[in-house]
Amino acid sequence: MSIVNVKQVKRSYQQGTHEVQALRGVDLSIEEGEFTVLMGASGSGKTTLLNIIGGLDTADSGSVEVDGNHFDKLSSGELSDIRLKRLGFVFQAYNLIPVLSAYENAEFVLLLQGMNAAERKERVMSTLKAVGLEGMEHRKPSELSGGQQQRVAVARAIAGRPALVLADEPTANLDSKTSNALIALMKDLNDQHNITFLFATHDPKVMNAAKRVVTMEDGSIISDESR
Amino acid sequence: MLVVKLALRNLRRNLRRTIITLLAISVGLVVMLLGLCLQYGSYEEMIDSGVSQIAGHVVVQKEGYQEEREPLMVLENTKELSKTLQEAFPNATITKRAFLGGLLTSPKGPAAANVIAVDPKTEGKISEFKGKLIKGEWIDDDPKSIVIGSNMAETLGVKIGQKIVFTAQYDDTEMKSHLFRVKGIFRMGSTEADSFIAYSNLAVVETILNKKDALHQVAVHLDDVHQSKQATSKSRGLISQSGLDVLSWNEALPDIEKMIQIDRQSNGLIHLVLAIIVAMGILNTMLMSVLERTKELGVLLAIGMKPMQLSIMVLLEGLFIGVFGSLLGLALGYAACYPLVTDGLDLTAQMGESYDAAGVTISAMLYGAYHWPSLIQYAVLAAIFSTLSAIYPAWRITKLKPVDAMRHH
Repeated sequence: MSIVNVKQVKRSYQQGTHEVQALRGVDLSIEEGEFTVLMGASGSGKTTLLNIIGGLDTADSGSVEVDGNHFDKLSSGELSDIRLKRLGFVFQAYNLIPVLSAYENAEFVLLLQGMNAAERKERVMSTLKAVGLEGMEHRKPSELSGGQQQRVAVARAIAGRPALVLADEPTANLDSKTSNALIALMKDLNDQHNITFLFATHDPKVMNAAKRVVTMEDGSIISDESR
Repeated sequence: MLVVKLALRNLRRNLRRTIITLLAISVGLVVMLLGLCLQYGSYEEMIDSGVSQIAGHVVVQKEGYQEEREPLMVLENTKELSKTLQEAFPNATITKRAFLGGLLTSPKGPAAANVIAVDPKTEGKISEFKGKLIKGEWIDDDPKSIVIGSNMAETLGVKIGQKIVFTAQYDDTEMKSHLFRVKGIFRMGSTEADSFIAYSNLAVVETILNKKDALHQVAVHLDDVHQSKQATSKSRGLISQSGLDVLSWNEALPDIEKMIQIDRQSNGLIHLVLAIIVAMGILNTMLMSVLERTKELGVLLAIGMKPMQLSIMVLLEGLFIGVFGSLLGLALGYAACYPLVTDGLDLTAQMGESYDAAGVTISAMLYGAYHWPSLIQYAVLAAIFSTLSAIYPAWRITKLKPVDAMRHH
């Protein structure tokens, strides 16, 4: 069953006086449980496509259906609700809330979801353990290394048990060893919990772990390989 | 609960900015509270002086006397009236007064005088003049006793025990005179009071107006000016005699009431300007705070927080800054006003011992007063202003698109 179904999506930006065609009619379908990588050079449109699938940006035309929801028919509040309950995000710059501890960052989504305190605690602790941050719950992002911060970001993304995790260049700021560990962690989460992952990256290590590699160029998909 | 926690943490995160904003609110509030303290202190002083010198908290006069000030408009046989008022207000002091204008003459020459004829005992309980005697004693039951101001004593060239004659003519028949012997000399520090005011025994009224037991005013002096209105309406219910005016302090001293109202309005305007300046400062801080967190707010939107929740968070930050700033301002304002309330502000170097306003002599030693309803009102307004300052930044958040916000640097 498709969790993502994108048809003829176009998106352009105004950059100074001229218009940039970021997406030129993209079609993409992703099945539940896939571990897919969007590859391509900078400016190929992979981040734009990821943002549109995540409801962070809107397409100029075409249709976007995620987990059975047609985004073009939803209000910003309804989109927030889908992001909260069905999607998880991992960003290149971690984007943790600096005033919250690792525990609280991971807990944040569960609080928004309205989960009760006992269940929340159990979920956060098990998630932090799964990403290898046991014992570091009370550290603020500024007290963690880059790799540890990205682990917290992954914990935040998966704590709410999303159907789909969207990760934009999650390993770009990490060293090779930390990158490998993080990729292994996400692969494991994909295998164990059947969480669908969609990456935008040009890191070959991520590509090597992927079950499917979609390559983009100049706002179009030029190849789509399953492994 | 989550947004409350986040709002509090955001305030703690940039502690220096939060403290500066809190100080902006609290210092603004302290300035306002100091102004209010002196303002209400001066009002109390004016009212107390007016009430004790020429009026009361409840004033009974002949109908129309308040407007016309005609000396022949007297109250007669006031024993029953005084008794009724004393029974109604057992702890109050009931004074009787007559106001006579004329000439006081000594061998040296004449001096224009406003003689306030009073019952020496009751007037002595509330009179500020009695406490300002520099020579001799307060008037007594002797019909000839009179106390005069220091300037008048100099003009007349008289000392304690010497004779002076009061002369006045109120009807068309003949001029009347009353012989006095100077019992005391006071110095209020005001030219008008020291040159023209004299206090005498009520006996002079019979001589001058040719009417027995006549006077112009029976006044009730209570402990608290705020009881005036209630006591006045109670008195109106008790006094059945027709042809009388029963007035509260502000009806008996309309000029003072008017001065206070004008002063209150002009101060209100100054405080409004001050409040707007403080509010602009808070608005600037809130805008800066939202602007520098645009990326972070974008992340919160991305992970599922609703725009409305974010707006509430920013509004709460404004509210918390306002509440904490107001509480701090209230505490600092209370402390700053305390020396003014207990020790007073000595303005005698600038104004002399006292000054005259609306026919009343007011001490230049100004004591502050805590007027709690106004203090609390200003503190609440500061908190409201602060919250209102956060409305625009909060509204801006609802317009944020996560992807644009996260691109913000």
